[in-house]
Amino acid sequence: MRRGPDRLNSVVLTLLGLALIGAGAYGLARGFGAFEERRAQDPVMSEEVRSFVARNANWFWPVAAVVSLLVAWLGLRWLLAQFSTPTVNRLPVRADGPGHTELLSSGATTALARDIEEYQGVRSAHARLVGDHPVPEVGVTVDVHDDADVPEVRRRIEEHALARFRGALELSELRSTVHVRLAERAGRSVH
Amino acid sequence: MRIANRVVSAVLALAVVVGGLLVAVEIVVAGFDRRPWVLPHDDWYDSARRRAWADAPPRWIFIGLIVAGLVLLFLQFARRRPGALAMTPGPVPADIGRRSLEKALVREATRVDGVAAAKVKVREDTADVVATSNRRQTDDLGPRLTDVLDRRMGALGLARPPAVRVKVQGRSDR
Repeated sequence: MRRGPDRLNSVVLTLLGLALIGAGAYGLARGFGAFEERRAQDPVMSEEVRSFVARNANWFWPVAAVVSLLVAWLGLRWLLAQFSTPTVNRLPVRADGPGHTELLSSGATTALARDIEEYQGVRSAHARLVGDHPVPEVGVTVDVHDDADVPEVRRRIEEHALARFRGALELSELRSTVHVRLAERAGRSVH
Repeated sequence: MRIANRVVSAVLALAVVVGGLLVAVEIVVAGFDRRPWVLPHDDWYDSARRRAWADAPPRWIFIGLIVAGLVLLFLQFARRRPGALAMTPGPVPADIGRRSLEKALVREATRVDGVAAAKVKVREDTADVVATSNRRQTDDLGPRLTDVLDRRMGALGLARPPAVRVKVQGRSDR
């Protein structure tokens, strides 16, 4: 399960890596005469490019400035993605009458974690709602003792805790993930 | 590796933001026939007009681009240990933290009589255990340890439990 911007980073860095290798390989190949020996002696900034820019200076430079700003904006989105946590803070609650009611998601996730902490073998748990309403995703992290029956703890979380949580929030759909960490029983130490 | 990706991404993203803004500003500044503000683009332009593709400085730049690209691809495709191991498929996707599993296996191993210390490295397919014993005779320790850890691994409900490989270092080995 990949979280946060990791998938975005992976895609962007892969494409960037391929682009850098492509540009570098083209430059080296051209410099070594792979596209005719004569072209290896051409200046890097060719006469054709210069005359094209000079002929179209009235639109070329404004477009170049706009493209630069667009690139900067995309870079800013990418930068902010590194630090953002798409946590849901409030959930709208269905109401029959007029008005608008919202539920603080921290209250709901704390209740879910407390539910799970009552299971045998669980040392602690915490939950977090991420994503957009109406189909948010709840991520549960649960620390279980060494001697806990892990598949049984997982089954109870799926069939009991998450089912109750979904019912309480009146969500028809709720994506969920469970992350288990194996923890030492309190009072024991590793030799 | 995910941390490295995040750091590299943050640095590159910042460079893209600053670079994009600087280029836009330099275009506007040049439009007013002023000298370059920060980027010495007039020097770069002259250099690009004078130098051929076969000259040494452009070649070094191209080599630098290839190296940077290879580093980025290595970061993406280097075989890395998983952060978590998936549990058997169910209604809710679940996994077990790899580090916590390693520590749990160390605790399990050191509970076995005769094992003084242990190190565990879990990968996608294997769990390599190096156990240290104070005994001189450790012939029986390896199979016992393998059995204990195999059972432990099997009880976790992992989709693909890594195969346990045990190496025991006795007093005579050290």
